[in-house]
Amino acid sequence: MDKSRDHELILRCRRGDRQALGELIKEYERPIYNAAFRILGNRDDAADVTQTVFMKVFERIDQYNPEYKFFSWIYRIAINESINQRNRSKNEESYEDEHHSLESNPEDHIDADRLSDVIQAGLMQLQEDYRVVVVLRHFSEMSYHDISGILSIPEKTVKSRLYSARQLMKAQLAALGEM
Amino acid sequence: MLNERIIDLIQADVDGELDDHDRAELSGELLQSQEARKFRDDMIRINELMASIPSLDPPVGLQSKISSAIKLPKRVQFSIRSSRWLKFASHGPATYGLSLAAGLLMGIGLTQVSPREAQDLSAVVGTMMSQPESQRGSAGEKLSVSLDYVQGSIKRSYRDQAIALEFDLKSEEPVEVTIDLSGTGMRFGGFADQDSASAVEKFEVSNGKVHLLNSGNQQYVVFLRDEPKGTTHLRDIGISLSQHGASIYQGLLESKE
Repeated sequence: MDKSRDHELILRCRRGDRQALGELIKEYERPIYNAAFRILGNRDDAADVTQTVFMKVFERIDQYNPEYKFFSWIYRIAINESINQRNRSKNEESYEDEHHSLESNPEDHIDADRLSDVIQAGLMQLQEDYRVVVVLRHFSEMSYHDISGILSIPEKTVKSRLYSARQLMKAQLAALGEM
Repeated sequence: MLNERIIDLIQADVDGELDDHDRAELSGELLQSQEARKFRDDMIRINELMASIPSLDPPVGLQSKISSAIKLPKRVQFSIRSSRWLKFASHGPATYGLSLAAGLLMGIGLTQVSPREAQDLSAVVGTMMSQPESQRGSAGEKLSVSLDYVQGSIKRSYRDQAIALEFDLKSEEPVEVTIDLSGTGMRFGGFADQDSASAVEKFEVSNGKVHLLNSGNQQYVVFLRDEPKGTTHLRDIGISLSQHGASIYQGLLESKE
């Protein structure tokens, strides 16, 4: 996420350069899709949110202030859209449709796919504001400062939410024999 | 029971946000507290588990679906209100490889014709930074622009019977350039874009003024020719720059040889 490169691509997009648009989508499609999926727990919803995020970004591209990081701006839109989507669909059930049951013997071997499901199930058990900071920190690899900026909350709040979320994740992972 | 400070230090450590001073403090705490060591090990384990989850591939075709759903602005918006400006330069400007007809209509494309209100320079409020350099002959006069958001120069030179205004500006945000020819005895004669990587976003000639909107590296030449009825230049050429509707620069270039 190179700030100056993002800025250059945006300027080119503003001038109607579709190649720059393609480069910008290519750069952010995957991270936005993954962040949305980790918040929503549903691939179809994550794809819809990803598309909506880019649509909103380019509807407002003239409002983008280059003094701020583009990735902070697009992530903020992505988080808001994911939460809106979650509220709209109330899709806790749809997550369970996609994944295996987690009721199993903790002594069973947990392979990578199952671990992924376990982590995702754990995330979905977290309250939304905890889940968002975990996603931004662990899956989007944001710093405390970036998370603070994206969510418009103090860094101290970022840390305390991370602590609470991790304690809950720890308890869930321990129940499955992973801690 | 770990206190908040130790928890913060341990979290910052596993998240790679600990500075050297705090690291030294944490090392001391870890030596003394088994509970702190256990908490740190747990945090590291959670981080490892999270990091072991591979990122997901977005659905095939999502990228093109998004791209096709987004409408970008037209590459160039071009409008001319007064037909008398449509006589383009021919001889002098050709040395730059492009005339307006070739440069805009062929190279960039006529995409939009729309009326637009011309600016009134007398109403513009801003900082005047005219820095004329007496450079007669081919060099002409020059304005230097050194602002926070726009840097570069505008140089006047002579090409055969035409005056060439050579723009070399850099700005991240779009800059609207207005060339005021009213009262100068000159008319718009042609345009040549010298930087193929950038495209003029908007170009308009109206009421004796030329308006261009561009951003990034802006290297282009605007050619001016004498009005047919006379060659006596009554006024100098007004150059003004604005961003987001606000005037940021105003200067004059001599129009007489």
